[in-house]
Amino acid sequence: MTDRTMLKERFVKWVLITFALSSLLFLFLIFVFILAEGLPLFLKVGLKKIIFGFKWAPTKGYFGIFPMIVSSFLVTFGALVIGAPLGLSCAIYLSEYSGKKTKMFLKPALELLAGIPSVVYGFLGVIYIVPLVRNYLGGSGFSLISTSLILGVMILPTIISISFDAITTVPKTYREASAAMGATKWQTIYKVILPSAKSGILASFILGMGRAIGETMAVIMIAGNALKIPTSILDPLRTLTGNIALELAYATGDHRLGLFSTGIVLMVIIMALNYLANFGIKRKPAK
Amino acid sequence: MKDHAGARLIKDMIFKCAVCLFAFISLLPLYLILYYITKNGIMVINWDFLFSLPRPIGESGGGVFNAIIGTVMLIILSCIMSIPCGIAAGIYLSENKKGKLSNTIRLCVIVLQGTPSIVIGIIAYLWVVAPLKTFSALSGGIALSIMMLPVIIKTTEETLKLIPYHLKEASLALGVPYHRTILKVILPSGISGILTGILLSVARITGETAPLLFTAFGNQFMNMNILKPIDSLPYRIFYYAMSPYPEWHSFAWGASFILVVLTLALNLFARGISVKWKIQF
Repeated sequence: MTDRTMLKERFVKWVLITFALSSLLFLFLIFVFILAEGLPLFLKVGLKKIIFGFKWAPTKGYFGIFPMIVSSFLVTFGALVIGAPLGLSCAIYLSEYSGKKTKMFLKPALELLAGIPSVVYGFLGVIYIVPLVRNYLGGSGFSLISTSLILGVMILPTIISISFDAITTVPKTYREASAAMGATKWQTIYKVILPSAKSGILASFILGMGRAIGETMAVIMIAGNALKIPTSILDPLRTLTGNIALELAYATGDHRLGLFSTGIVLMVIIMALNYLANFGIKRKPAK
Repeated sequence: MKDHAGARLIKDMIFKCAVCLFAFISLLPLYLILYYITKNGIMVINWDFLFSLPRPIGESGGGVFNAIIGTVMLIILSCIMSIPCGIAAGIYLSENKKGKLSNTIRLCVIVLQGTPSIVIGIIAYLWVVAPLKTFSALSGGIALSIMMLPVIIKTTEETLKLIPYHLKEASLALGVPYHRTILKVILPSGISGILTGILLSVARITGETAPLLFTAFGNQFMNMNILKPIDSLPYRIFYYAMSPYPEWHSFAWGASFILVVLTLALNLFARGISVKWKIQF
């Protein structure tokens, strides 16, 4: 090999490494920047006053985001209550009951559901769900229940695809053994398949939670964005993501730092959830 | 004994019906969304809507031309930044399957994928908007390109992993230098998978709004300068949807229709490619 080719090879290798490092670098920079901007406020105001503070009035020096943390978890929980049973039964249907043709049609359709932009979900929620809730349940309609409903639909594709994968990895022999013992299909599913796919299904729920808690557009359009802890399912609320999205465009000074610290809290929650989910997915079902 | 079996079978039936019902219910939103958007959106679409600028409040008519151009510009900007990075990183990962660095990068890709878009928006805000002291198309593009990156890296890596090792060995045995092997053998055989990844990532960012609220910001007027605020379709939908005017709501339907058709087309196209041009050896 000539020297020039050698040189070129080394060059190409370095280019690849540099670009490969870019994702690492991005993530690293994201942490550094967010922490560098947000942490000083934590030190100045105090962690306790931010995370457990009830009052958010950043221009007056109050940075309590406790109501938003609670609201974020409430809508996420609500979304799970709606999305989890639907998603899980859809996954069971796809893997156990549907024929090949239906599956060929349904799976891509569900993936398309994931492709619909969140702002469109939000818009449909504003036009259809909010008036529905206002007319039949009362309140302004911008509420915990409408937000949970929309988020529940939005996390369906995540839950379905991951629990479907978990259920299909259960070995066929399990099903055959169960059927040979005279168990009905429902007994097989309930007593054999679901327990052995448990970790994957749980992971799908957790990932769905992660998606719901990080969701912004649909939430700010439907949640009503009131700054308090909701006391009923018809109360408006404001989530962590909504807080950032609504105020960052015009925030300055400490107000801006307060929003960055909101971002830190959000990031920590999401990473914890993803870590949990990863743990669930990695644990292979017993062979 | 017989009663017992009967009860079991009835339970089985009930369960089956419940599962089918729930599965049906979870598919319902997709049809409803597509139905409502098509019903309300398609009437709004006309020449004027597609190719004219928004008019001020009180004047009727107008369109979303600037938003369409803005979305296209944002997509191009983010593609320019993320595609080379993403593909190169994917090649690196597939070439170096083991090793500490590869595993760390893989972990980063997963974390980056799970990072909510709004946090990525904050970063673009910190990096570009704050120093330049103005909202800009560039900052929006950077935010979106960070969102594209993990999808492209992941699909590139997965595709290239499937390419048989002997292809590479044959090329190297012929004395082809390593970089030419990558360019002429490995990349071409994995091109369909890579293309799928790019399309999927574009589909992911086309409808993304949250980070744009405080990076690209939105703009009533036509703008081609990447250092100035720029409009985008999802932002326009948000803006019109939150307004109290019925006419603007109908514009939001029209814009939603365009956006949904665009993202669904990208998704379908990506799937079509991955199915049709199955990598052949």
